[in-house]
Amino acid sequence: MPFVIVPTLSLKAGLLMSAFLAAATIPSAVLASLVGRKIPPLFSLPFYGTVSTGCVLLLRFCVSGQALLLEDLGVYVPLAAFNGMMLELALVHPRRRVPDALHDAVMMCFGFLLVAAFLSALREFLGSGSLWGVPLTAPIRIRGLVLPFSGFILIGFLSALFRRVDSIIIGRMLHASRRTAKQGGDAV
Amino acid sequence: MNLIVSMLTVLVSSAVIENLLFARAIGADHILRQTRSYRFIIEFGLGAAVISGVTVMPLWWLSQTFGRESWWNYARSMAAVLLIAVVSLLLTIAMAAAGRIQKPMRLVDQGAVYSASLAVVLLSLTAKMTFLPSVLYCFGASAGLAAAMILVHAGRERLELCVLPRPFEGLPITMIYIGILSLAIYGLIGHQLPT
Amino acid sequence: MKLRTQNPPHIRSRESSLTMMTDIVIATLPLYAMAVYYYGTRALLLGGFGVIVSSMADGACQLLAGRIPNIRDLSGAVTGLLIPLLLPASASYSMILLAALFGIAVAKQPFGGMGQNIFNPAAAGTAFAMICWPKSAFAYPVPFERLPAMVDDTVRLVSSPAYSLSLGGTPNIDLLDMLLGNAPGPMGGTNILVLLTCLIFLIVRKTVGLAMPAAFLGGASLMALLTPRVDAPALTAVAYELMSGLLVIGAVFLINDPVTSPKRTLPKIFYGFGTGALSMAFRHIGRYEESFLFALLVMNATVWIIDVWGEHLAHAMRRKNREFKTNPPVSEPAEQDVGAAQK
Repeated sequence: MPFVIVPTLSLKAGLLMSAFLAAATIPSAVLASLVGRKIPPLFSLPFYGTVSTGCVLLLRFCVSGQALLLEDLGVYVPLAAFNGMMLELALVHPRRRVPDALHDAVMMCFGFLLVAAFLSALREFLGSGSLWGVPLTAPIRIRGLVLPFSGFILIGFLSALFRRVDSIIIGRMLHASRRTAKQGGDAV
Repeated sequence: MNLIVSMLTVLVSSAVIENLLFARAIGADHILRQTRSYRFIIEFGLGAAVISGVTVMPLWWLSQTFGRESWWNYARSMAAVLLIAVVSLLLTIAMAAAGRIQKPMRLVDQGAVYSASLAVVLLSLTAKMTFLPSVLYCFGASAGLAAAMILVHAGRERLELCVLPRPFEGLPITMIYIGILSLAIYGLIGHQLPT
Repeated sequence: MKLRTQNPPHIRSRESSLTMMTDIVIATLPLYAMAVYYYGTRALLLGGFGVIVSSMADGACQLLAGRIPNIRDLSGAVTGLLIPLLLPASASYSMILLAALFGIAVAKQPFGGMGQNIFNPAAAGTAFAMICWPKSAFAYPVPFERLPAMVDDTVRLVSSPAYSLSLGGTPNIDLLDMLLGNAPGPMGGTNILVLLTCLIFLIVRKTVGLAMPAAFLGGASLMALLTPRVDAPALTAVAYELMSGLLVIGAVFLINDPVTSPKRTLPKIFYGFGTGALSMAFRHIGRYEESFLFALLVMNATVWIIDVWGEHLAHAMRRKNREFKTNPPVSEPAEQDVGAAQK
């Protein structure tokens, strides 16, 4: 949650944060599916924490040329090693098979990427008046969007919007299935 | 007297002005997952305070020794993770030996304590303070995080009495609640905190 | 026995939320009249714009929530009237628009609408506007300089006495001028005498009580007395602190919101005192010259805890009272009586 609220002030930062989260989550999830049951519960968190920290630091070394972006992300880069997705896939519900673990980890990280990209683009465009560092003319400039509280509020509204859309879609599917069942019953 | 004032300033600024939850959103996912009592939040805060306070001591000394090396930025994070793991294991063993643990903490809660402790330790080292303020920063930040979580937990109890629009129940309204509180705390900070 | 059915409520009071909101609207009218006197008709335009935007936002949010819009309860209109009073008369229409939208669509309707919001919508919306446009929110026009409908760069904007206090200096304005509103500041926050009259009106109408505003101003005064920011006699320093910024208008309109304040008297006093003290503390350590709104939002979040503890205290006192009445303490007989009884 903190990774999508505070560091997503620009599109570049949002995408880079997604990359760090993927680097922390995917190897740990795959490793958990391979050797998960052999590690005692007392040592599982330190073990996976160390592995994901190592992967994050490796990626950090690879993108060390982006010094300004890394400075913007600050403490969230090492913190990405203990993100909720890694804890879920490596500790709480490790998958039994490697393809399942890989699929779930990639899909979760992709979902995060979509949300982070949307939020960071919105905040950069309306808050800073640019996109991907290119200055653009926004219809209105709201400087408060680049502050942490806006991240909380935007996540809240985005989540409410998704729930509403979800309930409408599920409602229509239920309605359609009931109609089909009724027509099938009438035919019989 | 000056020393006491400066120490109090460090404590207040770490707990209130640079509050981990409202200014940096650290701990936001944990407060959504846990719905237990205030006592649990206090225990969480104490755990994070002890772990981060003990971890920062050797790390501060290492920072003073190797801080100028180019590889220290990478080694610092790994060293912090390993030290936090060792300290938390020792703390768990000590508490189990004293008979204070009735059942083991959930892994997600352990992860949250790790995450909070790591954030506090790294922020303390980044601020480049002397030894005692660094340790006090860790205690103050953990206390501030626990106080913020208590405030949010109280808000969630209050929200249970409201007839909320269905799409806003649960996560969305909690995020909006934390957002408005974060806006209020921003009145103190007045500028973007360094991450 | 003949039973007659009737729709609830069965016990009716003359007071309702509509009468309370109407009283608040009436109380803001003298402030708008004084604002027109000082700054011209722009003050009325801002108020009208605020009311229209807030009411429309309220209705639209209720429609989206699947409810029948009810703007006749005047809650949206009250928010729309209060927001321009908390900002300078030179505030732009976009500032008022976003403040009203934030107050209604973020701080009020997602929490369930009127009667269920945790945070004061006017305070939240104005705080948001202050953060987004800090330069415009804290630059004020000079009284008696007529403002055009659309403010441009030709309008002279100055800082308020609150800014001087934040720098540790004594404001260059007479206390009497501050009392009469002849000082730069928030549109409705400078007319102290009119504000106090509005407070008396609301107390007489029983829309608000005296406990919370008195405790609030008491807490702020005590903090100002103990930690003065200016090198002046104690009472003068307190007077400057109280009459600058949004403290008095906050005491009249914002802190008395029945939805976001505690329910019992003792918690109300505690809440008022705490808000006053916190506002002054925020003034000392905060970055903005006026931090009352931020302190109010923080205290709004603690109202639930204050209420719960207030209930515990009330129950404990009632229990003690009952125990005292059922088992009154037996007084020990005097030594003379004992001696007489033995004889």
